[in-house]
Amino acid sequence: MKLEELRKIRERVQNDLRLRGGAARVKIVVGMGTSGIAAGAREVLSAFLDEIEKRKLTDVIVTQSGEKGLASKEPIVEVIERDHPKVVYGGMTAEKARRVVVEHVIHGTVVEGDVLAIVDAEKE
Amino acid sequence: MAGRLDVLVCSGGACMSSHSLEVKEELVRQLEAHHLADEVRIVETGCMGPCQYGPLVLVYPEGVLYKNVAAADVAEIVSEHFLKGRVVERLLFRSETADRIIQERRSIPFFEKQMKIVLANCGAINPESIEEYIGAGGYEALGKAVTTMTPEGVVAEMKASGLRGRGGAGFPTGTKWDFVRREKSPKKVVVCNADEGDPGAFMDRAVLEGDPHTVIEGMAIAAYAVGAQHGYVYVRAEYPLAIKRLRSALEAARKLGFLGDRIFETAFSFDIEIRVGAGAFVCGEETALIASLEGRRGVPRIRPPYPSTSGMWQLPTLLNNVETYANVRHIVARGSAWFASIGTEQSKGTKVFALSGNVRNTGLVEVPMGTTIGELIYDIGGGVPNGKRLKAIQTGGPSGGCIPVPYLNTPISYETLKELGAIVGSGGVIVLDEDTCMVNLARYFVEFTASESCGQCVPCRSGLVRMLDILDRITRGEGAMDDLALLEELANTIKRSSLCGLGQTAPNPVLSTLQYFRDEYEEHIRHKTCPAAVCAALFVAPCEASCPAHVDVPAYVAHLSNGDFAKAFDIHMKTNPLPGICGRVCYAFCETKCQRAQIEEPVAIRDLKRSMADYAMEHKLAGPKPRARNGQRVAVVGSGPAGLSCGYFLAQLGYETVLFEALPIAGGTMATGIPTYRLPRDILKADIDRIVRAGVEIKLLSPVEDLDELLADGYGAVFVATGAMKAQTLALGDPLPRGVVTGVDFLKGIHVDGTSEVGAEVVVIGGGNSAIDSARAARRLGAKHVTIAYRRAKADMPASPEEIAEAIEEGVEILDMTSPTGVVGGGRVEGLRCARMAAGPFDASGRRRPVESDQAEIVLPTSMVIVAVGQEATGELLRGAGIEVAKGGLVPVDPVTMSTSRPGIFAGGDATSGPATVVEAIGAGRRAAIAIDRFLGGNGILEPEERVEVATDYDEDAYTQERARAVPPMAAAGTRIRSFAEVRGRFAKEQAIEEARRCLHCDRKQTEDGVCCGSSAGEAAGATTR
Amino acid sequence: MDKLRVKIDGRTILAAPGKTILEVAAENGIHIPTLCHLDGLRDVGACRLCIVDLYGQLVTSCTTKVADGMEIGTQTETVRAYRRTILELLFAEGNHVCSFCVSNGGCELQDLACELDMHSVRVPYTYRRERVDATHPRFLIDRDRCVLCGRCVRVCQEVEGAHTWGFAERGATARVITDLAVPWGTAESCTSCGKCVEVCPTGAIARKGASNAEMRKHPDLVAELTERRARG
Repeated sequence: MKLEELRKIRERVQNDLRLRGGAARVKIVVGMGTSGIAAGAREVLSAFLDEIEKRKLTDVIVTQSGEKGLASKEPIVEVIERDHPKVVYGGMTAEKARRVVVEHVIHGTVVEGDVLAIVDAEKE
Repeated sequence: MAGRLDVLVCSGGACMSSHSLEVKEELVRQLEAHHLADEVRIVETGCMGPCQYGPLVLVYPEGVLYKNVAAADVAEIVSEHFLKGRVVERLLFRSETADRIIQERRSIPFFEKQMKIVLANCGAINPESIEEYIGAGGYEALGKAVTTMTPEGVVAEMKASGLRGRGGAGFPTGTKWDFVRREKSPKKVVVCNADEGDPGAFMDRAVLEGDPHTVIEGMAIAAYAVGAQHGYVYVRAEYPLAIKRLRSALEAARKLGFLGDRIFETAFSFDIEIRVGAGAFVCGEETALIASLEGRRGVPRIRPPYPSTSGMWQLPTLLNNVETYANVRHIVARGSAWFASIGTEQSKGTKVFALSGNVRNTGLVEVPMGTTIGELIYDIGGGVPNGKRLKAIQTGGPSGGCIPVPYLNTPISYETLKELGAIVGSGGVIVLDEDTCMVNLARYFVEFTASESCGQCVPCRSGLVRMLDILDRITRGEGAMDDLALLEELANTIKRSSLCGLGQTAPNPVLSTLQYFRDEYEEHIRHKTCPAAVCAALFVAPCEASCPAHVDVPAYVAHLSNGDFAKAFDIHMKTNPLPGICGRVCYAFCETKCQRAQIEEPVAIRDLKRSMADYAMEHKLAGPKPRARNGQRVAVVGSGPAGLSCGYFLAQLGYETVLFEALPIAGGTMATGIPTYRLPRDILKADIDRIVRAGVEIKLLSPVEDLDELLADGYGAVFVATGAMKAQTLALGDPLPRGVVTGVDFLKGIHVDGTSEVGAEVVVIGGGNSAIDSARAARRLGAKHVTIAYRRAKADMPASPEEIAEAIEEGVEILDMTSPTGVVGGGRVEGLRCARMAAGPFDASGRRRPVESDQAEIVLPTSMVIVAVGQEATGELLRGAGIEVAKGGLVPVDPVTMSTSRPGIFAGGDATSGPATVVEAIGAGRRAAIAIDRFLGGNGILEPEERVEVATDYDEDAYTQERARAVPPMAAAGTRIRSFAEVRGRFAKEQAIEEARRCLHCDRKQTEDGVCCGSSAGEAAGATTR
Repeated sequence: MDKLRVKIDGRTILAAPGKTILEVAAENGIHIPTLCHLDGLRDVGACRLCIVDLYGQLVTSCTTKVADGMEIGTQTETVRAYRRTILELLFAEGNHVCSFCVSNGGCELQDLACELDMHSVRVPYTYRRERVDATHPRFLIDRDRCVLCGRCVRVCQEVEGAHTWGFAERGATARVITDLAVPWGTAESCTSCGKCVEVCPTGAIARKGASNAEMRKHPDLVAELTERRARG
């Protein structure tokens, strides 16, 4: 065992432990209420998780929330970045979820067409 | 697919014993069923801390902490939280102060003031996964030390950090390392002391179970620094889980090369073995531990030589405790300056404590040194549960001492606790409430050390047995005052002349309880009573023991349970002649000690008493017959409860007794102060009339001004019970506008003069019962808004919680943390200016002292201010008789005989105690009557017959099943405020009998053949407190 | 080697380094009471009777080496009081009725009581009423008279090398045993050398046949033996 090997193991595991750190750069919240699930929120959630895994994003966490009260726009997804307004996407699909990861999460460009609202964090 | 949730299930010892593994298995099943196994990861962790609330489940990334999770709750957690994102609120923590639930772990007060260094990984990672440990930064410090630092450099860092031994003694760790490093020996040994044996301590176990690698890494760094090749962990066989996890951690560390040859490809080689000890307490002593490690009898030896020179196999040996090693990697990784920035001047870093005893949040906590004891007990521990008062905290186990309430502001450090006669020790903290007998506690620890003494040296082996023998006698009521001197002498001899640390510290629990609670020892010896009602030989039952009048509660309740109200009444009259009054206004100390509370709730003793008293009144029962007159006369000054009680018992003993009362009515405060809705005046009159019929003459409108005149008049003795009637005042303005009155005058006005009037707005100042009485009376007189301004927190109000609740029901508003500073208004009061207070440091009573907050002053608009902030005695009469009067007008008296410094003059009640309760005054009056009888030549025996246990004639076992306490009818709040009619109703006769049958008969002691004649539940309930 | 300068009870004394306080005191005619100490045996500091005052600390003089500049009090009031209390504790835990004891008149415990002015014992006597083990053909042990000084254990280990004697149990129930707590007569390791009898300070281990006050022992035998041997 060398110090470099130790650090390699650590980097690999840290990705594994990132959920417990509480200091992710981006948090993706998938609305998983009854209507959300009926509209395909589960597939959206899986797509997010899969895409993040594929791209080895260690600073992104995916979590779920309850009903948002906008059944017609489900599945609804919120993307929350530190020091940025919260972006709410509606009518998500697995395909769109993958796009959000690439364009929004990685490159910082909001995927305009699917945005329901942009909410200033302070107003909440 | 990446994980979405990490679900941490605590599998520390405490959670496992409350079935956390079943919860985990159910989680696995449910996740499979919901096809979530890929997204949700379950991690078994070590101890999370709040063991009281196990099993604990912590869900990341949100950090939601669920408590008391049962396997049956898992389905809901999975379907609601994991699937739909809805947190299961009923399993969350609740705030103790505000009525709200707390979702996130870090916002729970238990965690807020903690700082986790040693426990950083405990409850956060899987202790059986070396990868998770590495992911959390593990073995980085070892790598750094062996590849970039010299051994001297590591030692220098340890020295600079200021870390001191966490095993208890607090020796500077770096210095110890330096001793070993400087020894010129090709072979050296590193030993970890995990022989945690103090009752109430489980810090080391939690670290070994929750984060074994942190100890391994610390030991490896130590070995590198001192030049050792071999390590041993000495852990007790009682910790099988710790041994298992440590064993698997050692294997994993070897596999990855953190132990073994050429660690990090350097010349440094080191490995660790586990040695399992048989759990002798003395093996925590380092030389005994080494003897045991070597396979010899575990007895200590004289030092020097110290283990650093000659330890295991005569090799230089570094011996540190688990927690000490657990700090090492953090110091190496983050630097000594960081570590030294935490804590106090001489005690650096954090300390792990195992909180146990009478505290809400028992469990494992880690706080920076310098945290005050009060913060530890209240902010983190959540304070004392069940409405009990804090009495002391015990630290350091059998080697430690007690710290009483007045020292809550003491910052925790090695030096400060030592100054108080306690020690930091290994970190066991036992919180003790008012129900703890300090003599019994000391006895418990001495029993422990006496049986754990190795038997080698004389003072410890033989001396502790002698101390135990003396303590045994004291707790049986067979002690003498000389015993205390001998006890102290033995304690000091053992402390100063024993061979090892066990003996040198074993007397500490006795010395510190003698220092702070000597009066309790004296109570046991002089009065043969155990104030906490623990020492079973000294009382009939806990209810009787806690009653200031020592009413034989179990006997009269047993008669009631048989339906025999008359016999019950006779028993009551033997010790307390005011059953009607006490059945209504008594503080019911008895109920606070009732063992039935361990099943559900205390027996409703006071309401039972009322049923009995009302029966006696309606059937005109007279009580026991007085003895024939003996021709001697005694005068009693004051007709309050103390005077009435003393007069009654003197009459029972055959004395011609005259009560002198200055007012036109008898009863003292019971007549002038207690509102009629609590104590109807016909009840008061009935109790007093019965005493008059028993032969006591009451002279109304007869103020006494000169005690010598009474004595010259042929009275053989005088009992002074003039109460504490003078109202204390506040400086609210000078001159005071109209509309500012004292509570005393206000209540007296209503009940004696019939003059009190109120406006629409009334503000009452104070937090005691007379403040509540004034407020509720004001509501009844028609005040629309009644506000009580109290300077401390509501929970600290001295008034009874029941009274406070009833006042609130009646629309009284309580404004706590509000301290009046002055009145507004010229001719008539218009308002009350108040400062808003904040909770400051703890005061001598253990409550937080109110300090001015930065909130602006407020003005409460009002046309009347009632100042009910306390009363005091004047002591005038006694001062006039040449008797010394202390501060507050109180007269010092012998607590047993109530005799003043002048023979023949006795005093009691509020006049000697300050404002207290009716039942305390009754007890004092009775004690005085007995002492006066002795003074005048009698034998002082009121009850010549032996106590007999009352047999019952029903199926007692049926009543030990869980059964709710009976509640008497209460008038609705809306009705109550319309008149001064009595608020509380009484039990129907059958209801009273049923309620009396809930009594567990703690008075029934074991019979000679060893079988307890009481019911099994009674025995069980009794056993837990004795 | 340079001599050290120490002060014992106010007297300045020159002492050789490496010696214990007890040795230096004895060489200079200053008597310190002892019980578990015996010349020729390893010191363990168990009885605590040889405590002396060293800068306010109480240390056992048999195990504490002298150092230059030390100021030692062997007869301070505290030291004397503590010794007396310890002696009382010793008496209270055994059956030490001298008039019925083989060692009456030749007992170190009895001598200590005289020396330390112990007139009474303030705590109740409690002893365990152990059976006398008279299974050995020549010797016997009455454990109620044992003070647990451990001299028998040490002499058996260090001088005879038989390891017959040992300790068992702890606290108030601690006692000396032969082999694995078997009757002495059946202890196979015992060589019947009788050294334990000679070193026992009381009448606990005695020769069979000795009657009241007839037992006289020779503990100095050990020092003679060890001096003649080259100690490794």
